[in-house]
Amino acid sequence: MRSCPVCGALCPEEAQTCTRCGADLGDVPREMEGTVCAICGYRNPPEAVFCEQCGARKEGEVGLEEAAGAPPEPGMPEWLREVQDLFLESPPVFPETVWEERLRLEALPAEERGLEEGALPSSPEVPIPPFEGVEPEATPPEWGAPPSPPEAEIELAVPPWVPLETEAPSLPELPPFPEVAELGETSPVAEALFPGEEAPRPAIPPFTIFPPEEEAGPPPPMEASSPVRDEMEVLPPPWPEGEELPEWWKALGLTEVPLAPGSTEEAPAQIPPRLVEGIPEEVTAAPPTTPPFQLQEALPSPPPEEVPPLTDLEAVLAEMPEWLQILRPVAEEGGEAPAEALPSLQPVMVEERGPLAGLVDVLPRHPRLVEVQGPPARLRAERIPELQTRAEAWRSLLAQGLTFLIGERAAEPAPAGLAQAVERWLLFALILGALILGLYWPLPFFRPDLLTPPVAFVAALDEAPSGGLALVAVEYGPDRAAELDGFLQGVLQRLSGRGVRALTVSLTPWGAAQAASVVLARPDYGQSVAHLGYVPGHEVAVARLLSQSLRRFSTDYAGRPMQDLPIAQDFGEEPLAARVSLVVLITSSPDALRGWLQQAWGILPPEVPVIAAMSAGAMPYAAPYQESGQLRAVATGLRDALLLEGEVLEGSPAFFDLQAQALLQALAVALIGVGLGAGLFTVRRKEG
Amino acid sequence: MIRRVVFTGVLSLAILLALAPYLWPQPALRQSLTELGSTLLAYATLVAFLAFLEAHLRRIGLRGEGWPYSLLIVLSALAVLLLAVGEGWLRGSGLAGPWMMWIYQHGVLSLEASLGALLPFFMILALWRRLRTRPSVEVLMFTAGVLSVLILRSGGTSLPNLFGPLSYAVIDPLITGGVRGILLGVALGVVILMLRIVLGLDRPMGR
Repeated sequence: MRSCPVCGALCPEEAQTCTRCGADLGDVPREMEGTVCAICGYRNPPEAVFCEQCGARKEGEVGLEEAAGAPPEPGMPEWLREVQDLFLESPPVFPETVWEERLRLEALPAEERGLEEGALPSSPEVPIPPFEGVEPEATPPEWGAPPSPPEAEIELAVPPWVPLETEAPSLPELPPFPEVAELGETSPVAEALFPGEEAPRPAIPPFTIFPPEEEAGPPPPMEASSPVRDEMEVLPPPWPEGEELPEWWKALGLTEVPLAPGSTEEAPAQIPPRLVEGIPEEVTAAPPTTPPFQLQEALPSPPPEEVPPLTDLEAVLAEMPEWLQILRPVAEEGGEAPAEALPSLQPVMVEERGPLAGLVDVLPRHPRLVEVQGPPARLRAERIPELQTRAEAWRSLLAQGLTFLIGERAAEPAPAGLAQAVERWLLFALILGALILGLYWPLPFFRPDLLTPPVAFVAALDEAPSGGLALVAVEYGPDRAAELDGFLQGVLQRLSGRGVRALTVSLTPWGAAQAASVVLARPDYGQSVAHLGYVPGHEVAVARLLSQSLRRFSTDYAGRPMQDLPIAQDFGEEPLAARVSLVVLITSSPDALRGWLQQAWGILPPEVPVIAAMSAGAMPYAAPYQESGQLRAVATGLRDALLLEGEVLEGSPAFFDLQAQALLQALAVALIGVGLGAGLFTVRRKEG
Repeated sequence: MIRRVVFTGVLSLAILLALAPYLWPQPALRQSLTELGSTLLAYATLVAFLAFLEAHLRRIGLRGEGWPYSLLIVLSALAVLLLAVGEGWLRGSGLAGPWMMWIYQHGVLSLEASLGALLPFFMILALWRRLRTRPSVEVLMFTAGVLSVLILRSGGTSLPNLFGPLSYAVIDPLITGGVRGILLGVALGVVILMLRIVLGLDRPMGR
């Protein structure tokens, strides 16, 4: 199996085209441009931000898009845009530079590093310049880390139910609660980052996570931040005091010493005032209902008068802005969509990334939204079973001949036993004998007087006015010619005998060829019968044909100009539907019947009758249209075709044809009875 | 996103435009739309033929499984195509020329008729072997269907007269109701599919 480069569907190795989307699998280069969507597997152009098939946002494109200065989504509130700018899905470019800078410093010798450390400004006293529209975090975002308190709320408090330890750094072992660590008046991480202050590196995680409740069984969502703690254990040496800040850091307008990745205590000092001012009052002022930890000696939050008021429009858009809808995952195409991507009325969504990590149902799925972004439909051409069967039969027959010609060895069928071979040849002999018997010997049980002709069908043919125009649609191929050619010949003979002109046409090439084999051989061709040939367009061509003016039929199927044929001497600019007085459909396909009836409805005048001559196998599909009146009459099978000419005389070719058919039917009935009896006898004997 | 909206919008407009002549009769618009659809389908057929040739030529080049069949198919298709084009060029008759009609009468029609003549043998053999297996509900239903068709269509015998009332009372309503249900389901499905495409809920081109 190999996957389609376009839609990602698994296709067999020998397939030339994709079974789902029809893409060519042969010309797939080894290295294709573009990126594959993680949701649906579609290969998108490299510059695409959203998947062109499912609309999902590609990973890592947010930060790049923002860094490239892409314009924001129109209609997005200002404060929401700022929040989006701050909480990116992927880390921006410059935090990686920070990390590389730290690695470079670690690789330097101690003396050389000391020189650089001496140049580093150690400066808590250095004033923080105003933020100039750059990301505040100089470290890769750790989404699992607890939310950082504001600048004035650095000092954390220990909940009353947690035993307090005042000298946390000197503790040689972990506290009773692994998740709990207490802090002094200053953050040990902030001290440990600068060796000049001689603060020993704590053996505990430098930040504190308190579970919301002590008796909580499962770990809270913040437990997802375990990678952060792992990263803290391998924390590189702190930034040397006095070391010069990088140029890019100064270019950002920041004078604070950058922190190590994962240390979030000092991060609030870098939060720009614009964020504090941009967040709505409800977000900053309202305390959480179940705070994960409590603050001690917290300074008052920024004055509320600095927060811009939230307008009604922003409040409405904040429920589900458009850019968030785009970010939502969509179901994979077709029936291969994962179960979690399918619509669910009451889903439980746990945010795994971003600043909302660990929260449940922050943006609950709306059923309508899931329906909108559901799997895309595809219009596919269904294989016609009849054609498929014929093709397979041809392949089977050709395989037996071509293996001899080209020397290719075909798979040998399983050897059949003697009993099965005898059974097969006995059945074939019975069928052949019945056929020969019915074709050449009159049998006593067959009575032609019991044959009932298709009275309604013949009556509809006889209702066509003399000198009128009848349209005969030939929608069958050579495989049904033995059954339906009789209808075509009988209809044309009966119409021409009454002076009704007939135009034959087909929506299929083989139907046109089949009609030509019958129509072009008639002596009255051009006088009362003409063959228009193949009209492309399948069902669409019905409306086109009926609404086309008669003068636009320039040539017949043989290429002769229609003006030269006597049948078309009075053809003018009027459409065919206005001149035709009878429509006869001769078909073996239920689809062709349905297409003609549905497309001709509304174009043909209601008084124009439509009758159908069909193969016996398609007879049930004509019954609903006949009861509704869309079909005036239906004739089916070889029997009705032979009875179109009138009474069947004993000894005529039609008599023997009908007798042979009746004898084969009787043989089939007898074989059914014998087969059922033999099967029941075999089962009873095995059980006994 | 924009491309998706554009594709969906164009498709919805095309569907609404095609529906307009039915809601508000405009013969000229309807005629032009059907001409356009027929022309597109004709070009699609041409493209399908080229794709067919390309697929088989690739298989021949790679010596893939069944490449002799591909070779035979390509040669046959090209021979018939060249013959039809040449005959149309020389005689102006195209598909209805004497060469093409000879191929159809003595080649295609004969082979298809012989293939169809084999079907009764294989079908009766399959029916016989199926009936000799353990009887089940499917076998009984299949047998009842075949029997009813054979008996009711046995022209020239008294069987249709004997079982005619049974057919009118039981079988015909079942057949008509079942087929009508299928047709209604197809129609409803088409309407719903078009509505979803018009409203942009489905993207048939996958974009």
